[in-house]
Amino acid sequence: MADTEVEILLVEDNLNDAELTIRALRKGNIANKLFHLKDGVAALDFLFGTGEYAGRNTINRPKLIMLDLKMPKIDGIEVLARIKGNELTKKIPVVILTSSKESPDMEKCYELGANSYIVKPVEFDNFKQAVSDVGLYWLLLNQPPPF
Amino acid sequence: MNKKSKTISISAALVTILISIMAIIGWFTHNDFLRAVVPGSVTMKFNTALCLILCSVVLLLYHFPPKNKTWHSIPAILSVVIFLVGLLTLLEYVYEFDFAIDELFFKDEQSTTAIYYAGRMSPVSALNFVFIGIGLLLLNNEKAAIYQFFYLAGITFVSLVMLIGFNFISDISTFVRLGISVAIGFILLSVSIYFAQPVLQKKISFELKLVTGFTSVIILISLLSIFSSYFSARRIKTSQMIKHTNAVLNEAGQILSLTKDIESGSRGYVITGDSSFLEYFIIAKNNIFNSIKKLKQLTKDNSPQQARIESLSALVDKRISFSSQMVQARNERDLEEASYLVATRNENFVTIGIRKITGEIQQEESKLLAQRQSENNKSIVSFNRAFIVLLGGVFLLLAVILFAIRHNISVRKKAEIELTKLNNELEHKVLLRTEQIERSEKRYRYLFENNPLPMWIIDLKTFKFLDVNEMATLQYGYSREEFLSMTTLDIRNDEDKELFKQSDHLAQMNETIHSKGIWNHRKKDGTIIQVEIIAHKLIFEGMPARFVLSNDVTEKKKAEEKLIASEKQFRYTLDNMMEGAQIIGFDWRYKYVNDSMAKHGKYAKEQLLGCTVMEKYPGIEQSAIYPVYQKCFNERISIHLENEFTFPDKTRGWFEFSFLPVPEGIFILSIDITERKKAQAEIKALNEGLEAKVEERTLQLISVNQELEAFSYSVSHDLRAPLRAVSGYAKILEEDYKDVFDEEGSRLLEVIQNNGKKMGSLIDDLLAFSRLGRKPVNRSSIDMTQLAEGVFTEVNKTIGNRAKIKMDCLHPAMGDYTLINQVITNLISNAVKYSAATKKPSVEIRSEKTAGELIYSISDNGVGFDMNYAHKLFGVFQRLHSAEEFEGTGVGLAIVKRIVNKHNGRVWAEGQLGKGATFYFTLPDHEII
Repeated sequence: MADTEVEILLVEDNLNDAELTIRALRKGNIANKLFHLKDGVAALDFLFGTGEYAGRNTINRPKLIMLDLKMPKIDGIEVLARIKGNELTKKIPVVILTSSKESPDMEKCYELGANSYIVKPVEFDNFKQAVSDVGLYWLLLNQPPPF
Repeated sequence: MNKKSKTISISAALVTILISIMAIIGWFTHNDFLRAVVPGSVTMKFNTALCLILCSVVLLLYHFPPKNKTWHSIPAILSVVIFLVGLLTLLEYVYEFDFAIDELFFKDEQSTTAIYYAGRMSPVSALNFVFIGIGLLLLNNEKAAIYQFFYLAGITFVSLVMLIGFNFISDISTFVRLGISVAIGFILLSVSIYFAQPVLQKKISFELKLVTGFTSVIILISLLSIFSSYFSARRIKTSQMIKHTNAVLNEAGQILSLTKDIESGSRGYVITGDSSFLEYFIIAKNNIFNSIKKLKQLTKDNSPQQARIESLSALVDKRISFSSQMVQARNERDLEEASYLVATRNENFVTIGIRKITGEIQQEESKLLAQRQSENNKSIVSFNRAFIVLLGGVFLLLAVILFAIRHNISVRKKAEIELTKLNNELEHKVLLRTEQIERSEKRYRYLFENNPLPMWIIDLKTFKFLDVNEMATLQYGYSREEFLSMTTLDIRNDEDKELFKQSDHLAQMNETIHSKGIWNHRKKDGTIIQVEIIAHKLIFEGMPARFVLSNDVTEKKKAEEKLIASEKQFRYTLDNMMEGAQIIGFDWRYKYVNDSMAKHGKYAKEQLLGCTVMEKYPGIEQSAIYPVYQKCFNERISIHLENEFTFPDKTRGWFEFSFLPVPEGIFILSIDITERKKAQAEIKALNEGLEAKVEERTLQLISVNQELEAFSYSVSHDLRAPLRAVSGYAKILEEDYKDVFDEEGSRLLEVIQNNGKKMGSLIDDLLAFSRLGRKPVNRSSIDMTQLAEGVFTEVNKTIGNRAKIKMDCLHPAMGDYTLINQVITNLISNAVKYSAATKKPSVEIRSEKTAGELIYSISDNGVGFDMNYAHKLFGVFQRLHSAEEFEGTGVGLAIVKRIVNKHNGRVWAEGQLGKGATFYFTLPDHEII
């Protein structure tokens, strides 16, 4: 898939969760232009055209970033901070998808400028529902910011 | 001294000074009027004047004592000076010596008589001054009263006599006389001294004065007799002298006539020759010498007359011899011869000479007589005057005496009348008094008889009862007759009898009139009573007796003893209590200290008592406790404080003091809290250590909490992910491979999904529970009724509104709304859940207010529980029912407990299997804001 057409950037180290997320989005017919990255480093490289993704045209920004918090190397909070701290990426809506209900994380994320904070339900039906709702909302209902 | 006497005395003294000063001025100015009053009479000598002034000064000093002490000896010194002047002058007279004191101040130019000592005062004055000098030294001395009286009377008398009598009698020698002013001076001085001494006026009786008056009269009369006899003698002498003079004249005439006879006889014979003529001649010749002899005899004390008589005698001789010659010539010769003789010898001159001399003799005698007669006349006139004055004096004196006697008699008579009157009055009074006494006697008898206290009278010698009153008979049980046959010893115990005898002996020895004491008396029935005795001596029917009043004080004594015992007990308590007790008087002296106080104060009791606080604790004035003492002393308020006291040895101790004002001063209660303070300090140190520990622990806890948080995080995050995977993939299987699975396969897949779901809710509940621990409580007012109703309605929906609720108004509570909501929700959910199976599910919610607590209870009529497992109800994951029977994770009640505990409340439950359960929780009853 050409990176220029990426609409949803999913940053998730848990492959099971990633698969379930993608499945849920697909079931809602909104997973066509989804790009999955397995850690924070890869996510940052992708967004800023560095490392593995050096040379990528960073003007092509995803329409939505779904970000897990607990990740190896660079965690979700750090990634969020970098996204929101950069003029290039700060307008991209970031939805935090996490298992953690812990308030410190939630607070921190909102402080950093997260646009939504979703606790992944354990039960798959609920999970599927939540993820497809998020996809629908941000990609179809919400008007993306002008770049 | 009465005022009149004093005035007289002072006035007399002042006049004396005036008179004396006049004399002194006279001496200065040589004015005889001032010195002697009557010029030419006796003067007041300078020394006399001076002494009179000194006497008056002594008297004035006596009347007006000088305030300055050094002046006190002045009167005595002056008196001695007066005495010495008098004495020395007297000695001068006696020993005819001159001490050169007479003209010490002034030369006396007067020289009138032969026996005159220039400037020397009269011996009478000198004697007077000797007496007065002594008198002034003994002024107002009772023992000297007689002396004072007599010398003053003497001086007055002598001065008066001198003044009125002697000055008229020229025969009295000048030097013993007193000048007019001197006599007056002495009289005034005597009056002044007399009236200066009230003692004299009291001590000298009227009789003595009378005797003195009569003595004066007698002396005056004696003086008059002496004078009159003296003057009669003089009169006789004068008449003798006249006779003598006449005799002389006669004899001289005789001689002349005889001479004539001789001449004529001889002549006649010569002429006539008649012998008869011769006869005359011879007789005359024979007699003439006799006459001459007689005349010589008469004038033998007069030498000029004697000389004249000698010449007369010679002339007579001549005449006789001539006449004889003539006669002889006639006889022998003849007439011629004789005539010749007469003619030739002219002898006529002889006769003429005789005539002349006899004339001279006669003239001389006559002159002498005249002189003497005139002298006598003068003396007699002066005497007569003096006599009359002195006689007048006698009469006056007698008149005064008579008047005095009369006055005295009338005074006595008056006094007698007064006395009789008084006697009568007295008699009347005595009568009245007797009546009064009788009445009073009756009254006192009544008082004695009816006195509410027992009284009696005992004989002091035999101790026998002489009289007793009714109360005594009533109280002691003896009849009056019995009493009167007894002695006071009979109402005493044996041991008291001896004691009584001894003390009575002592009492009598000491002659104490009143005696008091507590004694044991025995009544007739043998009971012993304690009585307080008041007794005094009296004479009863002529006998020494004792009046005794007995007051039964048995009860009083008992009460007193009780009081003493109680006092003792309290004192013992005070003495021995652990707290220090002290009483300090207003003079800051220790009045009482107990043992503990002495121990606290680091002194022995004896060292403290009577000493002041400052003496024992020097420097206390500067300490912080001192103002507390002052405040308690001055403001009379109680003060309680803790104070670290510094002892004189610089050691310190902590004390708890209570200062209380008491009537004697202040009372201080002290507790030694040095140990307590030490312990407190230790506790403080421990606390500080503990705080550090707590802080350490807190830090530890925080780190544990952080760990726990991290744990919860990983639980929620890491456990949920695989669970989600299990659940998700099972769903995928169900969705994508439904057709592949047979029935059993589908069932198994469902089991997996169910368990996954269950585990999910377990994890969620666990996380919720653990989050509670960290969540702070935000208190606000909660309307519990509304909350419960809302929850119930919500929960009831889940079972199709089958349950009934029974709830009154609930007490509002203070708490965290979210948390309390959770509690109510959990409890109502449980109630509904566990009663849902019954036919008519019913939930009852109540609240109750007790002391400081609000109790809420939620009851249901559900399955209930076994009370044996009640303790397990509130544990985490503890369940009394299986998940098949009732859904649930076993965390709900654990959460309830945790929330209630966080609100400082309690939870418990009561239940019975099949009969429902009641869950209680309490919340503190805060005031609703």
